[in-house]
Order: sequence, then C-alpha cells, then structure tokens
Amino acid sequence: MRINIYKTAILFFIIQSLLIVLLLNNNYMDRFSFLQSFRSAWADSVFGLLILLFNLVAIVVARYLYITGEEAERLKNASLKHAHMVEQHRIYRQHHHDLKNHLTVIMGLLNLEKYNNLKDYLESYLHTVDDALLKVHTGVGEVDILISSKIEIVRSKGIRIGFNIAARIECSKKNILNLVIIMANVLDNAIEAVQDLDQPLRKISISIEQDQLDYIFIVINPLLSTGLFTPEQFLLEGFSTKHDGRGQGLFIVKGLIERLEGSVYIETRNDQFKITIEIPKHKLQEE
Amino acid sequence: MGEKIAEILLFSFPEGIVIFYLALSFMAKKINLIRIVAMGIIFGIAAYFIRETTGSFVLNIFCATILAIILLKYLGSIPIFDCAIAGIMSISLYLAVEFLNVTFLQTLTGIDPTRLQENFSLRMLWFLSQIFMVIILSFIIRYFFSRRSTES
Repeated sequence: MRINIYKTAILFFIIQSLLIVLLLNNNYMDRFSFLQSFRSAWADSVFGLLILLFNLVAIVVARYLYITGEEAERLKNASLKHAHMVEQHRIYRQHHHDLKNHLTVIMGLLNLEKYNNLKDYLESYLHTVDDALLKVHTGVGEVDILISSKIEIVRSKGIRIGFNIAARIECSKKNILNLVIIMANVLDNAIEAVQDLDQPLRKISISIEQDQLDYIFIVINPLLSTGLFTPEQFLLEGFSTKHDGRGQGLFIVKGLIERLEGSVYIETRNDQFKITIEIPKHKLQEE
Repeated sequence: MGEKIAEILLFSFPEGIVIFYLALSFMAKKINLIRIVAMGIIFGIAAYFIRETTGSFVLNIFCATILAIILLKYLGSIPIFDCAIAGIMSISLYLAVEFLNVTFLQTLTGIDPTRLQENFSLRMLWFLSQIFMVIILSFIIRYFFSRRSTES
C-alpha cells in the first residue's frame, strides 16, 4: 500500500501538537498533584520517550515532504513539456495533412505551366510555414510552441499577426511555467478582443525586446471602446469589456508579474490597446 | 452520588458538546445539533468514568481522544482520517484553551486552582469562561474554513 506522505505528515504533526499540550497541562497539574497516578514517574518517562521518538520521526517526515515537493515540481514541468509536445505534434500533423493538398495544387499549376501562379503560391505557402514554425525563436522552447500555436489559432480566425522577436530569453526552469501563463493570458486576451471585429481591423502585434535590465513584452490589438475604460480597470479582478463574468486573465498576469518584481503598463489610445510587460532578467533567470 | 451526577451534567456534558462542535467546525460540516448533543453526552459520561478509573491525566487524555475519534466515526459518519484529525485537533485545542484559561485566571485572581475542587460555584465560573472561549474559537474556525471551502 502506498503511503500518502501529506496525510501522514498532517496526522503526525497534529499528534505532536497534542503531545505538547498534554505535556504542558500534565506538568501544570503535577504542580498541584492533581490527576497524577502512583506510576507518574514511569508515565513521564514513557511520555518523554514518545516525544523523543516523534521528534526523530519528524526529521524523516520533513525529508519525505521535501523530496515529494521536489518530485511534484518535476512532474509539473514534465506535464508542461508533455502538453507542449502534444501541441507541437498537432501543428506537425496539421502541416503534414495540408502538405498533400499543397502538393496537389503545385502539381496542377506545373501541369498547366502557370509558373507565375506557382511562384506566388509557393511564396505564400513558405511565408505561412516560416511564420508559424521557423521564425519563433525566443530561446525558451515552451514559449516558442505557445506563440506558434497561438499563431495557428489566430490565422484560423482570419486575424493578421505581426511579430518581432528581438531578444533571446534566458529563463530558469522554475519560471518557465509563469512565463507561459503570462504570455498565454495576454495573447488569449488579444485574440478574444479582436476576433469579433470587422475583418480589416483584425490585427495583433507581438513584440519581445530587451534592454540592459529587463525583457519587454508588448502586445497591441485594436479596441474600439478605449474611451470607456481607464487603463487601470483592465487589471482589476473580474473586469471584462464583454461584461459576462470573465476578466481573470490580466488580473492573473498582474499577480505573476508582481511576483517576478516586474511591471505591467496598459495604454488605450486611438482605438488601440497596448500592454507592455517588463520582467527583470535576473528574476526570470533565478533558479 | 448526587455530586457525581451534577458534575457529569454541568461539566462533562458541556465539555463533550463543545469538543465535538469544535471538531465539526474543522471540517466546516453542517451541524446536526442532535448528533452533537448525543456524542457530547456519551463522551461526557465515558470521559468522567475514564478519569475516575485511570487516575492519570495522560492516560485519561489518550483514552478520551480515542473515544472522540470513534464517536466521530460512528455517530458522525465521517471518514476515519478526518475523524482522527478533527478528534485530535479538537482535544489538543481544548486542552490549550483550558491551560490558558486556568493560568490566566490564576494570575489575575491569585486563587489557588486546588480550591476549585472545593468551591463549586468558583469552579463553574472558571469552567464557563473556558467553554465560552472554545465556542468563540469554533465560530472563528468555522467562519474561516467555510469561507475557504466556498472560495475553492
């Protein structure tokens, strides 16, 4: 039978707290010779031995808790990697599936000797593949996959996307999950904001830059109701321009950024929503 | 005999009831007053006789704790692990409050606690403040745990 270390630890420390209170009360009562049997001396020795044993076992329990915590952290990272591998596989399969269609078109254009059309078609296809899979090199594999998958989603919704990655991020394993959550929430927020707009307005711009101290992430998308809300409102818990009980994403982002000692700025001007996130490099690299 | 019955009725029963109220507060479970009173009465009677039989404080508390766990399991219909945690924690907290109450009142009034055995009304007064503190503590724990379970 596998022992649940958390349950064991809870039970163990609660028994210890009972023993401590018991010792305290028993000593107090001993001063007034109240409820003390003639075998009190023996009882005290057994009691002392029991407390000693519990203290020794406490070391083992604490060590197991530490190991289990480490294991949980490792599993969390492994689970994240697995999720990203699944996403990568999905993108690969989609391209693999599309490849046959593209080859059919290419063959058709070749047969018809429409070389100019073929050239345009190939340029367009290469551009798509380039943008989705080849250009995303942030230095963090998980973020690359996340941005690639978001690009796929954005394209499937007919949204134009522009991105500029001018930084190579160095991020410790501990902070990868936080960075992915931040990016995912900001991108989801942008996608949600533009997907219902008219076709010409549907555009998202992503930029990853760096200065001497910080990594700077900028996401810009159109927002028609900029005058109705102050920038601070967007970071409040439960705030959503859709008014239907959502609005947790940017609040979560704000919490994570604060934990990383970074800053988040929002600008809403000229029907545009711009979110700028600055994360100190040393915090992101911190093990 | 009359004194024993009065002691069980006035001290052991309320003691048992507040211990189970405290135990169920840890689990933020809906309170069934009839069950709590039933558990408190059985616990009160049994605890009184355990105290009389063992004559040792440590042994008395061990037996009382086991009894509380058994009662929570069979009368409260609660999983055994939760019973053990709630039972041990409630007895532990009750004892801590008892210790604080007695030492605080002793410091404040300068009365020797051995006099409590002889002076019934004084004992009652000291005991009531202890019960009152445990009930307040139960309310705080219940409020805190209920809020946490609603949030999650």
